[in-house]
Amino acid sequence: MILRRFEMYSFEGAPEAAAGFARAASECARYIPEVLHSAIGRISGAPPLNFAWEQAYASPESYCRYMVHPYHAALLDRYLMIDSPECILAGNALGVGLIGYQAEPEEFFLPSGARRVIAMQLREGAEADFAALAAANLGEDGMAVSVFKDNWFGARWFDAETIVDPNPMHSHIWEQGFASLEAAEANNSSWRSEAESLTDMMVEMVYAIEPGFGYATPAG
Amino acid sequence: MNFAPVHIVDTASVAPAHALHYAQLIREQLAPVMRDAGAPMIELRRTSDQLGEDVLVQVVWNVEDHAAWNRVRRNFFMDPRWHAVWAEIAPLRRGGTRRFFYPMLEGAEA
Repeated sequence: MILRRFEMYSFEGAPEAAAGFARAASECARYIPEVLHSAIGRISGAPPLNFAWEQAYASPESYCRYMVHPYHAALLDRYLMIDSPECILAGNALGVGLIGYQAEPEEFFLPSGARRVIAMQLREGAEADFAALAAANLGEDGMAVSVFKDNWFGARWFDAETIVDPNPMHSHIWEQGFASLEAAEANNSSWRSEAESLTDMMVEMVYAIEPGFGYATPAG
Repeated sequence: MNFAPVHIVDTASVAPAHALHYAQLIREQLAPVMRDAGAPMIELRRTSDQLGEDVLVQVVWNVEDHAAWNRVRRNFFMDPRWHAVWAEIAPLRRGGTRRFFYPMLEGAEA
């Protein structure tokens, strides 16, 4: 099992500052080797969200080493924490600042192409039906990755163990992968009506994958 | 390099007319929240407002090490007072920097 994590942001301000965070996120694994499968993306069509960072961690211990690393506090958080004078984060109420799940790395591994990540509040009792929907769409209309899991990380963002937020806004995540952004955008309708019928709300983010340092193999 | 203790140095650029109010919010409202979270304020200083440019207000927080800062960060993030005071403070900033420093006066460079 591996810990899959997403940070989805609304950035505002000078383009140079957003580029600074993009560079810091892309290079993160060079300085914190515990950060695996790191890639960024520019979210389109989901305003105000405009930036995605996806990563993974081999264990809660690996995640904690990331959390206490000076690179995290001094460089990444420079752009993300409102108490930092260099913060570029614009507030939103979409609840996708930190979401994620537990999975096998082979399930989501995709160092190029595009993602669609859907964070959702699933309707009571709909988990099995949504899991069947996600499984049925794997391999259909260009969907090369289809992982449906509960939003395990949303409640455990501090150390990947302790529940610090017992009621994150989103209960589940559907991560999709495609060979290209065009393929992701083309795959847009076959699953949508059923997905909407099984959820109370969905936040959908699509982006081309820009692989970061070291994103090459499922092992790391 | 021993990255401890940690001094978090926030230097904000503030309009001269807002500098005293900004510092007052830091000293009277934010500092108690940060102290309760585990990061006492050890410096608060400003540049002159007689220079025809923005005033720089600099605050320094102290924590034991980066693991402590991670706990402090969780503590203040979960504290509604922290969010309320930053809703007042953040609009007063016009720029600035945050940097993490490690004191070297006592030869802690090992």
